[in-house]
Amino acid sequence: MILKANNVPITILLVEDDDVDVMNVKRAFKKNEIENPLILAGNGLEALEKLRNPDLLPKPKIILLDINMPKMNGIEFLKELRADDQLKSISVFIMTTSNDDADKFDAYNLNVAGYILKPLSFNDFVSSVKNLTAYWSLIEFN
Amino acid sequence: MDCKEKFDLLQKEYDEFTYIISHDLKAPIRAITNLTEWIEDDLGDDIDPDIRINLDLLKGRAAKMDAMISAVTELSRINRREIDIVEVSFQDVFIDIKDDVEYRYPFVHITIPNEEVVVKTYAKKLERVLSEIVENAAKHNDSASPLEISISLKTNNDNVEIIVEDNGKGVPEDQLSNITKMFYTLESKDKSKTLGAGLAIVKKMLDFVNGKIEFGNNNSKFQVKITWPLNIIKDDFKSE
Repeated sequence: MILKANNVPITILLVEDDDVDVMNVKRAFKKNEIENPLILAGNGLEALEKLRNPDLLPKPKIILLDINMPKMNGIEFLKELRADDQLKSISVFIMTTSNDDADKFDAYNLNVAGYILKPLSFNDFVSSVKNLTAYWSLIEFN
Repeated sequence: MDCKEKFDLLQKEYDEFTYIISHDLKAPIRAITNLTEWIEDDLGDDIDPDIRINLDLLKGRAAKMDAMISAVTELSRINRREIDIVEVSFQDVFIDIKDDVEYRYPFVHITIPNEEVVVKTYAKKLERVLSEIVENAAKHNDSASPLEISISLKTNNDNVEIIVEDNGKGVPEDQLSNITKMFYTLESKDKSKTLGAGLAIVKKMLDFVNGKIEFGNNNSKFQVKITWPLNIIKDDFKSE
């Protein structure tokens, strides 16, 4: 399955510094037969660089964002993203281990579409991704 | 540096420390669990039974470590979180607990007091303490034998006294002083289904409100007595 917006496959940007978590997302996509293009960035700075690169087309419509990362963390990245007229409308889903109230508060104040705690088990994560993609397939992206 | 500045600095260090425990230590445990599940997945259905057992043990221990970290995090947040003082009715709390616990443990029957007592207090902590005590009785019961839990209530000028009694297997007299220790379990750690964190959390909540918890075996009934003070003092150190 390939999720599309206006008949164009939706590119997903994954901002995550932990290799196992990157593999986790890839593997969960594969299990759910999601074949959308997935771009990777290891921290907020790298993600902004990629998003601002004019050669990157189509621009990602969905960002999966970790919070604890080196150089620029998820919340700092969100602040930059929301302040950038070209990028501010992108849907962002937080995927983190942090169930800290302060992180949730900051994230929702920066208009995230959802705040998801990474489950301990891979099989649970596979079903989270299944639900997420079912949701994305309902949404009209701009 | 004055006392207040030192206190704020300590508070900040403590917050950072608990953030590290709750977040950074969890990431590798999740990775261990994920990698185990991938190995399992890649080996397919035709997997050697010994390997299956070891993979299950590995996942079980990792899950336990994850739950322990969650419990330590919760324990560390008790003095800082959910500290709103609001009006709460004991009867409402008991009704909620009865509905919830009887639903999840079909062999348990709970009798709750009729008195209508309404107090202004740390409502979330009160709810958590009472539900933990009742649930604790329910979950240590052998699932197939019926268990009677009865709750009674007494109010005087200073305190509300709540007594929770059950006719389960109880706690050996020489263990009574240990059961509020963090991660203390009556069975050996690897056999115990529970973490041994619930009563430690309860004890810390009661310390926070200047309350008390006592345990005893009375006519083949296990009894927990909670003393919850009516006069709640909110001092500066208890606010964020």
